[in-house]
Amino acid sequence: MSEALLSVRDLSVAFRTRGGTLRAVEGVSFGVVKGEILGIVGESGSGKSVTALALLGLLDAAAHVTSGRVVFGGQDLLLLGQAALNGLRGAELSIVFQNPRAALNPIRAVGAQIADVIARHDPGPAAAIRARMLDALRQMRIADPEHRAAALPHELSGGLCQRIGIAMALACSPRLLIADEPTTGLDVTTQAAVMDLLRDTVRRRGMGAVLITHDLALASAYCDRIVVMHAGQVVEDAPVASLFARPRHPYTAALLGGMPSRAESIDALVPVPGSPPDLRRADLPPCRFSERCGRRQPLCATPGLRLGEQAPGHRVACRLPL
Amino acid sequence: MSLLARRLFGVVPTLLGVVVVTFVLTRLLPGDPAAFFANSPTADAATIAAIRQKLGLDLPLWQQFLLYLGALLRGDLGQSIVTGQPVAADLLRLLPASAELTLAAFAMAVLVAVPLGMAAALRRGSLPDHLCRLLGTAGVSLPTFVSGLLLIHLFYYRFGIAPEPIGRIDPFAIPPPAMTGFFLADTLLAGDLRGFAAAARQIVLPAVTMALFAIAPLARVTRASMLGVLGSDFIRAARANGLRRRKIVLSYALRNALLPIVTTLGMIFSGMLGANVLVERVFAWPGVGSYALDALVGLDYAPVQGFVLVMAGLFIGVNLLVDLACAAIDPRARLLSDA
Ligand SMILES: Nc1ncnc2c1ncn2[C@@H]1O[C@H](COP(=O)(O)OP(=O)(O)OP(=O)(O)O)[C@@H](O)[C@H]1O
Ligand SMILES: [Mg+2]
Repeated sequence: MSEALLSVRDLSVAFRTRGGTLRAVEGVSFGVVKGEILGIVGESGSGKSVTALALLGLLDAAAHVTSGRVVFGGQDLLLLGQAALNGLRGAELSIVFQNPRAALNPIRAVGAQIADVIARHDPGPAAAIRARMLDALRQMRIADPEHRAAALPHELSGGLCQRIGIAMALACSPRLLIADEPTTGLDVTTQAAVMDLLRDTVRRRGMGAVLITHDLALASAYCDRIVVMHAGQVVEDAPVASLFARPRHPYTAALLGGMPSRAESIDALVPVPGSPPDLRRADLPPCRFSERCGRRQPLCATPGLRLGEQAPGHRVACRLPL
Repeated sequence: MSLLARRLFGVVPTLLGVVVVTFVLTRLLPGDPAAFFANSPTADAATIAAIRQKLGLDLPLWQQFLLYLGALLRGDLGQSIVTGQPVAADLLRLLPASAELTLAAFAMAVLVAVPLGMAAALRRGSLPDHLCRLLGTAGVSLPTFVSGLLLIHLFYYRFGIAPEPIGRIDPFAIPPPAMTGFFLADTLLAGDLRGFAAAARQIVLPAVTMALFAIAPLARVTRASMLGVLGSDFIRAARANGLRRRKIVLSYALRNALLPIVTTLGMIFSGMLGANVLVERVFAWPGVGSYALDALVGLDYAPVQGFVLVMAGLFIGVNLLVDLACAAIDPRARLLSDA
């Protein structure tokens, strides 16, 4: 049994909006063990990013974590004070964002930005910090790091910016890396190169990683396990092989049914018929997929829906699983 | 420094344009300076004609312009009819008073508005945020001379805490030995603390008057610019990497927010140069603004031309400084290093 690194239990996040309370994330649970890459997959707006930001305490002021526990390294991150949490961020758990260039300070040399993070968590003489910064770049297979370190973000390609972002996230050897759509906007070849690098580093260092994507093919290629989210709920959580061999949730099945064959280009999800409910509704059903679901029964409207184990390590939140 | 060279070169046509415009404008002003210069309503036509000839006013306009240009190149701004002194000497003598007032007001505006705007952006809905919005509506609607008179009424006449608005120092006091021409600096250099306090008391009200109209727009731009930057992805990424709040606000956010702030600073400084004329008049401040206004009323061309030229030169200089500051702040332009 491998060691649990992160355990999220019953996490719910709501936003105060003009149109009322928006329940963006509802009762989300999942875990990551050491050396594992967990994929979180779902349509746009399914709450993937909000979940990730909630873990790190990075939600904006309009957001409220209404329930849940996020246990990391024996502590509940949601109860941790700002200062303690800030000390963990970038050191013990890191996040890489989509749109790599926008995530970098546009008027500061990229090397200096990485050095800022190292100096924050492991202060030391400038020469030592610089050496570590160059090493972080080298580990991301960035050629000619001395030269690259002096560049500004707009002088680098998108792929290079993302490698810089990953180098920054990994510079202080965190135990967990969250990557929120790290390859959107990159061309397919660069995408594969960045993902290979990410996977190899996670394996080599024995870290854990969460890969957030709406690209099911990408998730299947790089993840050990996949959590499928729909409208803020986790609908299925299973090892990749088991999920692809036999999806148990109608939503997952629809996603897989619409997936382009492996041989074709890796691309975004083909939409599932219907659309997710408006999350500001006060009368959201217990299963937020039920209104799009062809298998809906009166049973689906009864409260108390939770993830149940259907096969070893394969859990699904459905009254009438496939 | 190729940027500096290029920009300096670009200034030449602008300056030439200013020279032409001031020349034409003053010639379009009503009144005959020769008649005025003759200084007597009974001066006969012959006297006036003689004076016109002496002033070169009888020559064709283009010849007058060439003469004017030639004199300018020699640093000769002409003679003031009212003071009887060379205009260049007058301006040099009066400029420190105006510069001290403008710089004091500018420093006041920056020191209040920038921190206020930053605080408003960092804590939305807080007291500084409300203050920012209040100033934004109140500050813009009050013309400078009204707020000046209002301040005099309140602090001199009503409460009696401000000194009489009669210039830089008490007319019976001895001015400090001139080193910089700034009374605040000169009194300090002379070790005269009482003189410093007196000079400071005199400058507070006019400086506040000038600062008032600048604080509102500057605070608003600072707030908006900081809000924009604070909401951007790279600030969230910096937070996600655990960087300290101080570092994020001062080094990451402020530096990025600085470009619009610096541009506004340039506009505000230029605006203050203009506001000078009225504020100096209201507070009997013996600066170039008062001087120019007196000359204008007295149909005295040369000082007005000289004043407009100096102001235009300052405008251009300020714009140049703003450009250089922006280039220094934003390394993306790579303007200061490689070409
Ligand atoms: N700041 C916010 N204020 C209000 N609602 C928000 C805010 N951020 C996110 N939401 C809402 O929360 C829900 C989940 O958004 P989230 O960004 O997590 O989706 P996602 O799964 O990451 O989608 P994508 O694939 O497009 O990134 C959406 O309905 C969104 O409208
Ligand atoms: Mg997202």
